[in-house]
Amino acid sequence: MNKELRKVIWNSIKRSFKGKLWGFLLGSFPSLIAILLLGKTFLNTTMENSIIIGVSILGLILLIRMFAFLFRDVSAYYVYRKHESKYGDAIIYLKDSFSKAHHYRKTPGHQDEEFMSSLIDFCANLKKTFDGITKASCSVSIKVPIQSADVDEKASMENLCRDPEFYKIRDTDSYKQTNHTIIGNTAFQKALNNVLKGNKVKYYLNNSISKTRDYENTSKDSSKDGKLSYESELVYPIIPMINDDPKNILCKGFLCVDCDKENAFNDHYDVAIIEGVADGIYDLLSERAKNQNNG
Amino acid sequence: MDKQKARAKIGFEVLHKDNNSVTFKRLIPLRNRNEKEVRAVELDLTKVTVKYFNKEDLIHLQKIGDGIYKAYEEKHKNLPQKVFGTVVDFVTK
Repeated sequence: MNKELRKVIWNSIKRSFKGKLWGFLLGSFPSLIAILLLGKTFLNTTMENSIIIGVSILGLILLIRMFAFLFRDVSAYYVYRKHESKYGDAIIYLKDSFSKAHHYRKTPGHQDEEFMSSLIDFCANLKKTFDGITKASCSVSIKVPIQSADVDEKASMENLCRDPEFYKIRDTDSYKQTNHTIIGNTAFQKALNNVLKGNKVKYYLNNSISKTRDYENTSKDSSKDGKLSYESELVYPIIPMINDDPKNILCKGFLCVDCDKENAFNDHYDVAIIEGVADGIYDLLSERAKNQNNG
Repeated sequence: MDKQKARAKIGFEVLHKDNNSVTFKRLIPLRNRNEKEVRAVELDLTKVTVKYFNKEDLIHLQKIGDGIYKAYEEKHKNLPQKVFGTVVDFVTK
């Protein structure tokens, strides 16, 4: 048993001795006498048996309270340990990534190596975060649109970077040769539509890809069996969280997280994490573009 | 499905494009309005400008990325892998 759990149990036991109830039952001499004489008054028992009944009632109340507090506090502890603390880890991982990104932005004459290092670091730490949250294998990538002769709804997206664990496995030659268009991918299309509609919800979340009808994904074309290696995906457009011009929003690409497990992502904390990171990546991309224009 | 219907299904279309970006606007149904009125409404709605990367620039950054991935791999190799890798390098290079 670890130290934290022992402390939780000890606090629960201490709490079961405290409270208004004990003040009411034992707060004064007459109330104590009343409890000890319960048996004698209502059950016509002897004095000795009445005292035993009174003490037993008090002991029973104490035990019930103790078990109730123990159950509540220990279960809360395990929920925190198993679930919520993963979000605490996210803060620690992403703090490092954001500090790298801030350093890049604050340092004049930034280099492309630092830029790419910051982006890959975001992907690596997001992967670590989501691996912990989902207890499954996740992959994170940053996709950007590329300039081509025919740029329209069919605009092609390419991976700028991916988490280091999956870049060799996923970014195969076949994957690179496939034309990943916006309209050919439900996730990009829906996310872009959400931004255009001014929806509060700007992400695309699918927790059961294989069971989704009309789901399109160009990555299927580049896999050998025509199947995707993931079952859940969360895609967020790389846009600023607060926009100067709400009528014209600048989008620099998409931040994509996928997981091999069904129902991997929740739309509360997980989306908030990816939203914050997308905003940070937007800043990095803007800073580099600004630097390029000045240079 | 004709082009118009396909675009309506997508929900957006290109408003304008240049060498650096493409701007999309929403498509809304006619609903007793003529095309001119619909266009006016559409232009007043939120638009999204997608900035794109120059292909050469992207390749340049991806090459830098390849070097960073290798450094990550090296950093996360365990001791037997590192020893084995060093021996292989010594014998083969």
